[in-house]
Amino acid sequence: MDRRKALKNIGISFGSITLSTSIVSIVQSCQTSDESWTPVYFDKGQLSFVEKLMEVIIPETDTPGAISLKLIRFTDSYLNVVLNDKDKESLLRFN
Amino acid sequence: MKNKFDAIVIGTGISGGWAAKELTEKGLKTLVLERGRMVRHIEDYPTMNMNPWEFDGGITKTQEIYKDHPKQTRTGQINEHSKHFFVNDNNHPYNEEKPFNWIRGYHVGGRSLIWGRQTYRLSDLDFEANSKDGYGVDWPIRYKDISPWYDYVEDYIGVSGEKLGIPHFPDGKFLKPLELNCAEKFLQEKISNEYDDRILTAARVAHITEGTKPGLGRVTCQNRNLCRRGCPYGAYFSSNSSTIPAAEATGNMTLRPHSIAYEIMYDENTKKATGVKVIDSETKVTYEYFAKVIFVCASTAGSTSILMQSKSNRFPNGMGNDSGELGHNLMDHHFLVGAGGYLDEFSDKISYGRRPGGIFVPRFRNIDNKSKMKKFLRGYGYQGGGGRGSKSIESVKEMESFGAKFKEMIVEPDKWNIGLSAFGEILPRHSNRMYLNYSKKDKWGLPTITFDAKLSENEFEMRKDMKLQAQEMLERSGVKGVYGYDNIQDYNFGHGIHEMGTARMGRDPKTSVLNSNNQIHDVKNVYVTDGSCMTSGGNQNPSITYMALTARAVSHAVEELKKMNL
Repeated sequence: MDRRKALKNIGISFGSITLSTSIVSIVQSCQTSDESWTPVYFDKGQLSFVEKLMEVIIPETDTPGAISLKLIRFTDSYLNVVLNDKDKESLLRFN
Repeated sequence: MKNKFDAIVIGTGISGGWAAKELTEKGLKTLVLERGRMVRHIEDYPTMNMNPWEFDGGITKTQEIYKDHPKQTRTGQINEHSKHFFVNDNNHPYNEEKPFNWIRGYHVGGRSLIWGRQTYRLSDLDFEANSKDGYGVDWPIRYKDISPWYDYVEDYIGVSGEKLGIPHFPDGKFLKPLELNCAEKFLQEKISNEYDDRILTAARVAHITEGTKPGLGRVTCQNRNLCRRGCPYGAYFSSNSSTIPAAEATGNMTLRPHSIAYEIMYDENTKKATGVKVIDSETKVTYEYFAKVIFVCASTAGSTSILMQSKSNRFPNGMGNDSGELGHNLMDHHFLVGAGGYLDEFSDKISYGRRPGGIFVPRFRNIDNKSKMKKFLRGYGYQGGGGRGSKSIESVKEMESFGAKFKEMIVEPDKWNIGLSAFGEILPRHSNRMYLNYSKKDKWGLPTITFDAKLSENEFEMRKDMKLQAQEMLERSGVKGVYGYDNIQDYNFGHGIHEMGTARMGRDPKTSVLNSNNQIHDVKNVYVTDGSCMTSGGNQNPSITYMALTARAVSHAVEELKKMNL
């Protein structure tokens, strides 16, 4: 996958995320990591998407990546307490 | 609970803790009042060992913090790690005729838990400033009066620093300084070579850097730089680790948290204060406590508010307010101005640990005729430091190295950056004031404080020089990419968290509230020893001066009690 191209297709500011079809299919092909923990902000579908997006940014190399490190847990709690209601809503519009 | 004591102390912060320790160690049965909750050293520091990712919101301000602290969140002071040591602004409202950042901690220890720990003595340059240029009134003391008390306090709390032998930047009883890193040593050397009127030294901070100090197991600083969460090593000075336990150990202290002192009672026949009226913050029941001597250490605005509420036939405008100066001459330190840049050198070096200090450039303006400035009076000093960030910032900017390369860059240090950030004196002005609003009361039925203070031309002129000199010093030292800044738009009065001056000391009862021993001129058994007593502010962080003045005032009070003068 061409990460550079893929990321350039993602508007990075919250509320205006658009996706090219190529990255959506790549992300959908990955596996979700954790079953026991319950997110507070994302729903299951969003969670899986964001987790895989994070893996694109911090991939598994000779050190663990975002999925192995379960970084989604922090992202989920962080966005839940830090974003205001308006931003919370607009961030989820990508789905 | 009995209601008669030898002494009452209002407040448990930097000043109140010292009053409690000194009074109880001299054998006085002392009631110590604190308006907030109990905070015990170590056991009440819930976040002291937590990692950043263990906080839901990391190091960011959460929505809850914005909701509970709508005013204090204007500053970078408050975050998830230490929010429990900052008051809920909604429960403790105040009013702003002009914007004012009132950063507060209502709990045992007060702001001694969250202070900046920078520790600089005033000098005669400061004590003589008002009389020389005519702003404010003359300090009733000089450096020689307070110098032994600085020694006494520094020796007890532990202050790290370097002796320099500069008369207007007096040395103290120092433990070894925190070490400068290579970027700071570079700047230090260059400034010494380039200038003969200024030097750079290690910040003097109230941290134990060698050995131990008295209190609850106070040992050497571990360079965690998590100070504001409360230090399990007691390595920086706080009332909670040092003075309050010392007072407790005497068996002479009765500490009463949840006690809002709101009035000092006055007896017209004896011309003395008789005691303090208190509301229990939880039950709202009121109590009266009586004592021979009262120390008011409730913070500048807090103490001033209590005096203003202490009305009697003799003092219809508030206790000690014959002069009409009570609540006036409010000062702070103005800052958020300076310069920064980066160094190409030392790419093979990194700093060790998380040092809880930085650098300091002592005042070099208006010291003597040679350094006299045409456009402004008084002066400023620089704090700051050098460090290396992560290269990942650059990577994110470029948007091209997400993935494996990004991971590598996260742990790779960027160039050394270095900055100088100025802190300047604000002239004492009668027009800068606080007063009570009796039509807007808090939930205990007490009047709220209104602040009405702003910077003036002298400060604005000073800021130009603060920025320019920082830029010039970095440029002449060979620092690259030098940028100057003046974020005046982010500065509100009070932002320096150095409120001072609203019950000033002075020689003349007609123009001041307190005498040279911190006694109210006409109520000799009431001592006010927090920031409200300050006749001028200097540019130095003031806490050490409050501690020294408090210890000095207690010594005076005990002598006067022995002589049956109080």
